[in-house]
Amino acid sequence: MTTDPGARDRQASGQRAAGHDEAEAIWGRLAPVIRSWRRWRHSRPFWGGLFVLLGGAVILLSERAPLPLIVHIGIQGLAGYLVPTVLVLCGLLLWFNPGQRVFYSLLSVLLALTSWITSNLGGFLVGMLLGVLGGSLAFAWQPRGDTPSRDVTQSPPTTQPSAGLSLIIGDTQSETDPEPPGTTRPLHPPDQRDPGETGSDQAGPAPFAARLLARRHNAPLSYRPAVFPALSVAIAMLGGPLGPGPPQQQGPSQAAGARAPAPVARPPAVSAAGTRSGLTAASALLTGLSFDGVAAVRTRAGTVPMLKFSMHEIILSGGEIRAPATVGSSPFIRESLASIVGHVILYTTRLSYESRGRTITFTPRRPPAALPRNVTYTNLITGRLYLTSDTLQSSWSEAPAAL
Amino acid sequence: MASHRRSERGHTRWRRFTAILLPSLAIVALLVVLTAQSLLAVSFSISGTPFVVTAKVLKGRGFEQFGVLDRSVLKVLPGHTNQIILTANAIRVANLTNLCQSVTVGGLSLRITAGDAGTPVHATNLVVDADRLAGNARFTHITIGQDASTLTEVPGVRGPVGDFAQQAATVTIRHLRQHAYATTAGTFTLPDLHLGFGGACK
Repeated sequence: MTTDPGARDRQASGQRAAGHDEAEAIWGRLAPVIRSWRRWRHSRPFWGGLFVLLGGAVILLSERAPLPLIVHIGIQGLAGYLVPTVLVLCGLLLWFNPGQRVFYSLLSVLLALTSWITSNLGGFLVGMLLGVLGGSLAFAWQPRGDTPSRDVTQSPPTTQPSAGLSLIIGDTQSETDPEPPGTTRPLHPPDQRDPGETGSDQAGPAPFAARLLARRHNAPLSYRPAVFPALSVAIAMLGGPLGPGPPQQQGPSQAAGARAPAPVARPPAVSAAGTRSGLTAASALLTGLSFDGVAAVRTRAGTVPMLKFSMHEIILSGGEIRAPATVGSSPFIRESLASIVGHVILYTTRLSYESRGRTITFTPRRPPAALPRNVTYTNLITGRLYLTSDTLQSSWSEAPAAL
Repeated sequence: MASHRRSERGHTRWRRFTAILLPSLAIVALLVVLTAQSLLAVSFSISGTPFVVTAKVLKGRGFEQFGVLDRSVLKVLPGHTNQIILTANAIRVANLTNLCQSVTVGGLSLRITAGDAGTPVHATNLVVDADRLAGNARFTHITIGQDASTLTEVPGVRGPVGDFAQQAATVTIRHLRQHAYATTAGTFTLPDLHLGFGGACK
């Protein structure tokens, strides 16, 4: 024990020396990288560009509305995306094309200010302030000394007129070809952007703008991507009522050969939904009820015979309407109803209620013969429906609108 | 070598910096004030993170509602269903009193209130994709069960072909509370705007 310490010290110092050599070797390899990184960073408005970049990113993150919706809202929604995108671009160009920094920095400040109006209050103020700060920093940055240093020869010379300046002065020659080939092309101000320009091979903003503009020009009518028509056909063939009930009673496919003669009623002017749906109510007071006949109601997948009722009003308790969220989806949207008042017209494939323990069902094949004018139905259930009225009251609870 | 490197370094001219920053901040302040006095309309489109919108009274002209399946950007966890069923609620012209909107952006909870002092918030082409709705609604000239692709009350906003939809000429919703995933408005005027950090809408 007492003779060992010397040897242990030697060993330890040897380890230290080895560790030191290793560290030096790593440093030797890293040093040039760090030096060139520093040189790169110091030869351009690094922090200005970074803040502009972050500002644009924050604004973009704050709005991620689905693109088809943006396209529908039109130029205002489009600007909401365009402004932060160009802001991000300005940040990158401040780094990679610092010669044009005056133009990019002023454009950054202007875009950041514009984003208040176009893009979620400038990314809820945060992105706007970052953009203004970064633009100001970049505007105030300049290379030290008047003599061009080694790095400046790699980037465009600072004495070159900026694109922004040439725009203001009207120097069209320098605007169209402002710099030697091989360097990044300057950004055109957004108002110069037109769909024709988007065909160019310019990397970065142009393809994005082209996509946006292209989608805007042949904007589809539907809010979501088109649904397969086959699906709606399938749904229509399944057709049928929603909720419990004797399955053998009816179906639109059987209704072509209707036996019981019923008066022909006028169908609604617009086409009805192609999905299943239904109205249910624990009890429903129907006032001024009359049965108008069977109407051929137009839907996407062809006409569907429906019973047409008209009445003054329906007062419901425990009433709700259910329908699939989209064609072919199993989850339902529910809406609770309180009252439906004034010129109520109800088209439905089926209407059933309970009376003295029995379920009475009307369908286009078995239409009602005579109905009381004012009646309270218990456990009212309808099939697929189309309903119009002057007013409707509904109370939504905190319960989910979608189930 | 060291002195040479220093000579390459750029620097910031701070007088130049303040010369551009101060006017910009003045314009920022002006924009906020103009918006708070509803002289300036702003545009909104938020999505991806759920947020809460409440309002004492919403009065709208031109109402549409239909179901949408939304693919959330955030919920891409394995085994997690990426689809949420939402109702798209579109209003052509809406006036809201006591509007409150709370949203979390990057871990920062932000609350915006507006329309508390008499002048209501005014929005055009407002579309809100919500999964939960609460409130008392009254519609006039309503149609339920219409094909979503034939809606006409809000120009430019239509649903998928064949889907179940409803539309109404006017809508009044009291004590509105929406848990929403996306909102877009063509224009928004926000009188008496207050931006605050922390806290949710009541």
